[in-house]
Amino acid sequence: MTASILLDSEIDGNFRSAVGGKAAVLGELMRHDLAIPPFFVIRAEVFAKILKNLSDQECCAGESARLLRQILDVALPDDLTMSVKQGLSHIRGSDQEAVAVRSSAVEEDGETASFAGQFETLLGLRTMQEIAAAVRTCWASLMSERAETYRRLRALKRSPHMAVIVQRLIEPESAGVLFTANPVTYSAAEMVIESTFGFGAAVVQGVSTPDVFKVDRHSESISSHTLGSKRRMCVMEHDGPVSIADTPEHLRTTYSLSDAEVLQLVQLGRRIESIMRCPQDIEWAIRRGQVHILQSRPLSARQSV
Amino acid sequence: MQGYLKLVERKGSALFWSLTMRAFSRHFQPALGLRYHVKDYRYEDCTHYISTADLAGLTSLLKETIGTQSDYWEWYLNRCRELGDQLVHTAQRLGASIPAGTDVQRFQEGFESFTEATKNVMPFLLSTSIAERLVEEQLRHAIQQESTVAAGIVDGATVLAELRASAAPNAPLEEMRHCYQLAWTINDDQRLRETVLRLSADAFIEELRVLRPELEREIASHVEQYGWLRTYAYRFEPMRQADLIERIRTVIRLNRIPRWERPRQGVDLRSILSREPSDELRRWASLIEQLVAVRFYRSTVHWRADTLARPFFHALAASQNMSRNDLVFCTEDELLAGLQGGRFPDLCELRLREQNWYNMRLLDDVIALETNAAPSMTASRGLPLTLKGSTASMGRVVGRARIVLSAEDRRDVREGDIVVTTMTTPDFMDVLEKCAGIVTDEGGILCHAAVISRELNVPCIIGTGEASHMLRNNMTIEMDATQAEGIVNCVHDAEETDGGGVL
Repeated sequence: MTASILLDSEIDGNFRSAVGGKAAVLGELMRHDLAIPPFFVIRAEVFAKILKNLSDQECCAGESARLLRQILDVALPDDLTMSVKQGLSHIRGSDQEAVAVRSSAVEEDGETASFAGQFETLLGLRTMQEIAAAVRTCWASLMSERAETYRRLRALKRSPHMAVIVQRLIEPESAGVLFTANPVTYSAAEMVIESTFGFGAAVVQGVSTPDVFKVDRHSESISSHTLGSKRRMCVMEHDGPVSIADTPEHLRTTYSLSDAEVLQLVQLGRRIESIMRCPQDIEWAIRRGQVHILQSRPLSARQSV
Repeated sequence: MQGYLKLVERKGSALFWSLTMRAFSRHFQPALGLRYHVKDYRYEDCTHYISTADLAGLTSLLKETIGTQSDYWEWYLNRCRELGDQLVHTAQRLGASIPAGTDVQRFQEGFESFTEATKNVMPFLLSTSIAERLVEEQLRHAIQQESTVAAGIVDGATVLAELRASAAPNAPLEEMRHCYQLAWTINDDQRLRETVLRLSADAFIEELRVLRPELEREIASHVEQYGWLRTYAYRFEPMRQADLIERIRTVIRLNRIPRWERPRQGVDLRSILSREPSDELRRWASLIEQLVAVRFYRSTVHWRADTLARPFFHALAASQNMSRNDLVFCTEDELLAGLQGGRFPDLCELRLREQNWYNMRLLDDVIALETNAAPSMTASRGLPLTLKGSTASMGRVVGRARIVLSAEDRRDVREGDIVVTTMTTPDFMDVLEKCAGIVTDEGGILCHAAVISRELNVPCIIGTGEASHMLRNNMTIEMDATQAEGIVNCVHDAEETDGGGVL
């Protein structure tokens, strides 16, 4: 493919500096035959170049807020637009199918700093215009106030390398997060799954209280089920965007995962853990019985004092 | 209630408040060196009211005779502290040497000395709000004078706000700080650290007596000074040394260093006014600071005294085959009558009072008792409030609650506050920097905000259900996020201390 983008099949774990932490892991997992929705990545250097141009033009090169606005207005280079179009045809069958546009920064998803939720992810985009706007938003999020605050609190320097994943959007029946160790007690014997109906954004964004399953890793038995209130969920209207809506009454009182699905996730979790060689924070989605892995990163270490 | 002003809200022990009202009606004037007889006051719904006419009379008397004299207020503050110390001292004495079960005489003497000491200090503690108001006026006046002279107008309200904010002590926070200091001292010593993690709390205290007696004394004095914080206004047993050791162990094990390390600075009048304040201004400003501190001293003196005298009251109750909890719902007269051989009220009567939060009304010498239905959780300000949720990030911290429901609320969060919200979003980064903890209604332990809280070592309890409704701004709350089930307790309701009332 062209220099601006990389296809999923071309990526493995060594491509972090080119495609960011998120994408590199997804590429690596794909090589191990895990079900990852097809994607391509706009390389980090594309944004680095654009950023440099903008900084050179403006005298106040380092000023975040101003740069942010510039980034949101910048025109995509022609060759990039072409590459993206080619990439899109690779990942989806028709122009009506929605995609997700996701930040993949080089500094995120590391072992010391997760940057969880600090950069943008946009769901439910279809037209080239929407996708281009989403790409810009992801780039701009590198310098958002909250990302800057996070860096300051973790004493990290800003690394201006942001790749962007464009991925086929899976519209799931249920989705959520799996931690292969208990992140609160740090017990490796216990895995924790939080799930809800609809898109997993409802769980990672803390939109409402999800169902919680705790599983003993060794016996692979579910040690506790807790029904969450799941008051709100993320849904996609037909041909429309993804938004937050009230969960239908009958779904609120139902578990969003069956026991069999829980165990399926646990087994996948163990596989991913052994590939990545450390406990993982995994985002997953289930559609029509098929489990898709959307993200995986190391369980972030507690900041030592 | 038309024509009346709220005086002060009753909470907790009926015993204490029967004493309060006696003191107010009888001892106010001699104690403060004033002659004023309160003619008309009422009591309804756990609140005491004074008629506006009486208040006006009292205020003008105070204003005319002593309002402008800073000397008077200095005497007032000293006397208040003196009498408060006497109360604490009496309580200490009672708690330390408990009469034998059959020695009714000594019990009665002890009880009477306790009530005497309480009555003496009560008028001062009740009148601090009025005192503040009067001194405020003087301060404003002084600022005005100096402003016009120096041709720079400074708003008196700003100065007052600064003084109030800096003077308001936060006993639970201070207690927490001191607890952490003890923990670090122990942690820094290799042998002590290993010992505290290995031995039981009681065994460790024994060891400490031998190895570091001065530390053991510090621990004893911490419990003496702050133990009352655990009693939630008389209802529960105070902190013991073993409890403190447990907490120190938790701190060491979790290796947590809180962010609120800076001690509070005094107010720099010079920088607020942008010039050197006059002596007079300084004097009034210092009086305000002291009066605000005394306002808080009011409840701490009560609670400390109650805690120290607690063993005495336990024994008194036992000598009459009652429990202390039953005893606190007797009135002063009933208790004395009972000690002197008469009958105590029936146990079911006392239990009923406790259950229904009996109110007491003083009508001259007659104490009338009325039943109210137990108030609902949100209406009642007296019940200790406990919420449960899931621990998303471990730790244990005490701080002031700040309800955050909008971006604007986020900006009001101050360092050391505990943020209470419906759910956290990644936008909470700016708040995570300052807050000492987070409590949410909804959410899971695997969401982004939980991940970040853990990375930044900020204790976080999620899924409490209704924290943002049940808790209120400025409550002092404690987060116990040391187990999978996280617990949030309201330790102190700031509104109760302020009274929201006049005296």
